[in-house]
Amino acid sequence: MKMKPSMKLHFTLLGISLSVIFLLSSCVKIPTEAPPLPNLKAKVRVIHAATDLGEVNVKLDGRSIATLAMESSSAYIDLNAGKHTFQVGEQPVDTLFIDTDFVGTVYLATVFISDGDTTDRFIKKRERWMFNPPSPDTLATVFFAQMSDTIAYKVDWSGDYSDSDTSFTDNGTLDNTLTYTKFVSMKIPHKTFDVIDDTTTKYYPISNWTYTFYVVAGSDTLLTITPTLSLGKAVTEVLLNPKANLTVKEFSNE
Amino acid sequence: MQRKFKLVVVVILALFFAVSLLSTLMQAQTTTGRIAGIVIDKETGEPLPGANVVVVGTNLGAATDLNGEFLILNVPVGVYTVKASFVGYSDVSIENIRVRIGLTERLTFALSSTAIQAQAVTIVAVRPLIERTATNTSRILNAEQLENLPVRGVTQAAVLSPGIVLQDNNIYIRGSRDDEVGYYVEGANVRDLFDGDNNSTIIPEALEEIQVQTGGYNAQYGSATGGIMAVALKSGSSQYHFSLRSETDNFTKQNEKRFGTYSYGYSNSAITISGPLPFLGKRAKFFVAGENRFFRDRYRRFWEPFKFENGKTVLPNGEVMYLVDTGLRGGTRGDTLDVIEWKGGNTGPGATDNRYTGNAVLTFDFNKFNLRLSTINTYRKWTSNRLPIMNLFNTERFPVSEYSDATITAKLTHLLSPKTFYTFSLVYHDVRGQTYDPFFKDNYWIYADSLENAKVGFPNWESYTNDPNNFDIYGFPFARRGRLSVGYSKYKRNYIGGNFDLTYQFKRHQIQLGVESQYWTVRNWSGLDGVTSGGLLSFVRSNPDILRDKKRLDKYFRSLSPNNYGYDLYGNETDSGDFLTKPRHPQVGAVYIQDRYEITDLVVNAGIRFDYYNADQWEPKDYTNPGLDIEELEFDKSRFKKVDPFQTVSPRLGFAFPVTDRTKLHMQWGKFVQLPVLSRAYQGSYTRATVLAGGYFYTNPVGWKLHPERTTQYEIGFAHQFSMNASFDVTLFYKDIKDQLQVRRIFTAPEAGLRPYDICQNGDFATTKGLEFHYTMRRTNRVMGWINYTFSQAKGTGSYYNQASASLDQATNQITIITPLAFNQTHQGSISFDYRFGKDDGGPILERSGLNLLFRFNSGHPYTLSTGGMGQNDVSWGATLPDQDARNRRPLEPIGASTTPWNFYLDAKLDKTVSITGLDVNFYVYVRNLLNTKNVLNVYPRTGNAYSDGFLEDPDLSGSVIESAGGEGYVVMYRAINLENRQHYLWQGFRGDDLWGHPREIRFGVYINY
Repeated sequence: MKMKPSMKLHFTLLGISLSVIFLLSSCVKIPTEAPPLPNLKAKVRVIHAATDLGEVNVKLDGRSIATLAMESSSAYIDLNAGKHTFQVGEQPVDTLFIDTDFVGTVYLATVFISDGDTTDRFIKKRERWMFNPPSPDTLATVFFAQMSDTIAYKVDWSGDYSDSDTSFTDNGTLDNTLTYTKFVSMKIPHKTFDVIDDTTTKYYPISNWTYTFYVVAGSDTLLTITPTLSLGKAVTEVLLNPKANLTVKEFSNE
Repeated sequence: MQRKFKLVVVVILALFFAVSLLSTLMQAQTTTGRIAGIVIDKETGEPLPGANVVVVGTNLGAATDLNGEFLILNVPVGVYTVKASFVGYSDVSIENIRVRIGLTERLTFALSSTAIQAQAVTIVAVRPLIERTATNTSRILNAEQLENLPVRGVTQAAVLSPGIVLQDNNIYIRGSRDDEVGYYVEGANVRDLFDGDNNSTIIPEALEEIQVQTGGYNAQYGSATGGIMAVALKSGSSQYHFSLRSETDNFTKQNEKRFGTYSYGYSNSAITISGPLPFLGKRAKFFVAGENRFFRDRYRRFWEPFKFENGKTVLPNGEVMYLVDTGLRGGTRGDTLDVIEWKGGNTGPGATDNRYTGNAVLTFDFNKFNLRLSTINTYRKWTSNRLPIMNLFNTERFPVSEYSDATITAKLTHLLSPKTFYTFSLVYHDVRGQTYDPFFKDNYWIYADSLENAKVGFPNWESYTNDPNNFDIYGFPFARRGRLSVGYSKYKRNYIGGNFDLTYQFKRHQIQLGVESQYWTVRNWSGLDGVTSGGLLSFVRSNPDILRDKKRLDKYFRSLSPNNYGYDLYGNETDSGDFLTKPRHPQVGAVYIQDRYEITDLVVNAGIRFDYYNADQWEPKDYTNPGLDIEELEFDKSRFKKVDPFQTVSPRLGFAFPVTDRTKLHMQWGKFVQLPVLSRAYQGSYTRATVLAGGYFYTNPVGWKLHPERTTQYEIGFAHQFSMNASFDVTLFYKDIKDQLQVRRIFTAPEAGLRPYDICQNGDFATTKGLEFHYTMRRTNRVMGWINYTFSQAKGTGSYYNQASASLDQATNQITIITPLAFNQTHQGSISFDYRFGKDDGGPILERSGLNLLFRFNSGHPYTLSTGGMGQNDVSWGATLPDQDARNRRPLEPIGASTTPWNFYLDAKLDKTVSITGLDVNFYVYVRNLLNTKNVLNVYPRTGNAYSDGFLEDPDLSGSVIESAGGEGYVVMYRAINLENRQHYLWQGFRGDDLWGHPREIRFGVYINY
């Protein structure tokens, strides 16, 4: 068969174009740059719970972030995970390690001295991981006690929870036997108080109930707390002052 | 319009040319041959001086001298018509002259006076069956010979040549190691200096010819001590041609048995277009070929199905199997699998292989100037699933690898006179690749990030940085869905090279002077420990400040043992860095002279080659104290010195005695050198540092100073064509190989603070000897065929460079005795039989149809019966005795004293050509391993067979393991998973690819050639 001139040209162009395209596109695209370093973030707020201090200016890494009165809180602040310094007034600088993906509170606390030890004024408490927000049907409550004396706590609630626990009572102690008070988290309707640690991040589904917490000393009920709970909402209850004038302040978690 | 077209063509050509030239500089060897002969008066026999001889369709030609003799140099390989003419005589043309790489085709033109014979005469040449002018053993295959064979692939056909062993997909020539083969395409060296691999893919339809030189070779060839495979691509002709081929084995569904075998999802399509470039007359021609090859199952193994059902499968002892995770591998104890079913047949997911290949040649012929541009490109992407049974529940996440190579050659030939020409070549060669997780590619930071994994569909991670642990079912680890299996790695290697080659014909001497060089750039980034295990991310999450403290982060990365050079610690491409982490720039140069003296009954081929090797190596001034700061994992440069370049001289001498037109003797002697593969010399500073600092037993040590390996080759051969259609040749060979790589232990000085460590160095030696036999019969009464046979004895101190590493670790002496090499096949060969009906032959059914049978065989290879305990083996591996870590293995006999069984393969191809609307269409089917023979390629060293590893039979070995791993359930699974489907063999460090060869493969195809 004889080929038409136009066909010849088409063949030629096709052949050469194919080779050029192949030539220019056949090499594996090897990245010449390394992937960016991870951007490891955290979030903190500062709650002023130090009963021995008045209004203070709080500095983070030397930079003023808020002026806080007692029982007040700063907004949540985004920052790189890692070591950070916290300071109020001329107080010594505290260095805290803020874990990657940490979301929580740094409490400005009154330092209770025990056995001659000193401790930091700033105490961090994780509320959740950044990547693990409460889902709409979960919540948690965190208790922070800023008291000078040991107080037993009691939690009681009643209701018609799905796992057939219609009522539950647990007792424990919120104490400051070391140098400062302890944290306790209440994961409703979990059965126990649970000291939050870095491996526990579970939240539990609840129904829209009202829960009442009782803080007791011996047979005396010093305080009843009814957290403002709603779906997807976690709160922090801060107990302040000795039992003689025990008060509670509720903060909404992010 | 015409001007527009011209412009387009010119632009495209300019682009092609610019890309080729701008990106290149090179090294090219000859892909041409010569045509010589005499023109005589047919009646008187007197020579005719001044007669013209031209190669039709080219600008090549010559005039005869006073003796009537002519010589045409620099003829590209191919098939030509040569015409002789002289005043007063009728023209004589000889067709079908095949010019071969580096060889001379001799012609005799007998011209009749026009007074006697007025018309021109055309003679069809009958190709001689022996190469009368070759001074070495040279096997040549062209596209037509490949066409009928039941194989697809140039290399697959070339390895059928005598003297070549294909074992575990490695090519060994006459007892040399697999990294000692040189590969040339279009004159460009495509052997990877780094690993010795062939960095090119030739589309069979683009092949003009491949020349396999298993013995000595001319001085123009270097950097390979084993043998040479040289490929010339087709050029475009003065006619337009087009071809299309498509073949497949998709004759059934996956895992469905048909015709006694399975489909492997294979398809292969190739297209070629060639012809003259418009508007440039006959001066410019192009040839372009493209191919795509795809495998759904690239492994193509024998698999045996099995099925275990939870609570249903009853064991031989009457117990019921429960497929419950014991939790011993960190998974959730009590998790239950309903069924573990292996369907066999196909490997399953994660075994795909997709390859695109392009070969293109553009030639410009301007009388005295000839420019030839060529590109050979490959792009390949594949996934890996070596352990498909262990991955039965993890079917979406397999390592992906990408690879590409590109070789761009620009070769200018200038004919200074009929007897003198030079070529100047430039080449750019590039090979690169990367391996990665399919979801995260090069972003190794998020490989082990559970959140990122959840986003891509794997929310089931154990913790923030720990991927799902394996199920442990009766001691066998089945990967949970989403389990990671690979880290990220990448490499780039390229060279720019140049070659100048002057050829001068002085009387009977063809003198060739050449100089060549290559300048390489080698980069690598791999081996970052802790990426897949989550250690890296876990560490920085716990120490986030390190991300803002480069010094600390650098130090941490150094401890992860990255094997980086040409990239910084993190993977940024860089030309700076520590003396051991800069990109490596090996340089290779050579000067050679070759004198080929050729008269009717004698050819003398003498050459000498001077090689220069600068491998860009650094060595410690004191090996016993290499100056390693163990704390910082850095070497003290002041304790190192640059290794001086090496210079070698290698003379070569060959004789051919064409006793008659049909009988030839040849002898060849030569010395050959090559730089060892640089993968044994290059290692990132921090990999070395962590190995030395940790005092680990490291099975793949690298060297500080590797110098060239040397081989002396001797051969003597006899070839005889005993009829018009049949010939044979016999070649005896002997090789003395020195300075191959081996492992040596360095005992450190007390002040070094290091344990003894291993390095790679020169030292192994081998001797090989044998006989090659080749019989060929050209088509006679529809039949043609050939027989290849090789007898070989290859012995040496090591079959591979780290064979003795475990022995050294056990404080044995350096091995100095020679033993049979593991890749030696004492008897091996192939027989091809082709029965074919030509045009107007055989009637309407059989006309233009053919049957080709290919029988391949070998007598197995040496291995060593051994014994040993469990060592560090996982319970699921039994007590196998892997090659890579032989610390637990003890030989029961002299090394290599036993031999694996004989292997036999029968392949077949059936084809038929029909004419459809004027086009010749060839339909074919070919079958590899027609008899579905389960050939034993390798054996378990404990038992010497491929069916039982000797573990279960020995209560001392297996008793406690069976008991701890679940009793009879373990035994049943061990048989199904390991003995029938050899997962433990594929898992561990065995050098063999598999215990058994490939199963039957059936492929159907169609080929259209216009």
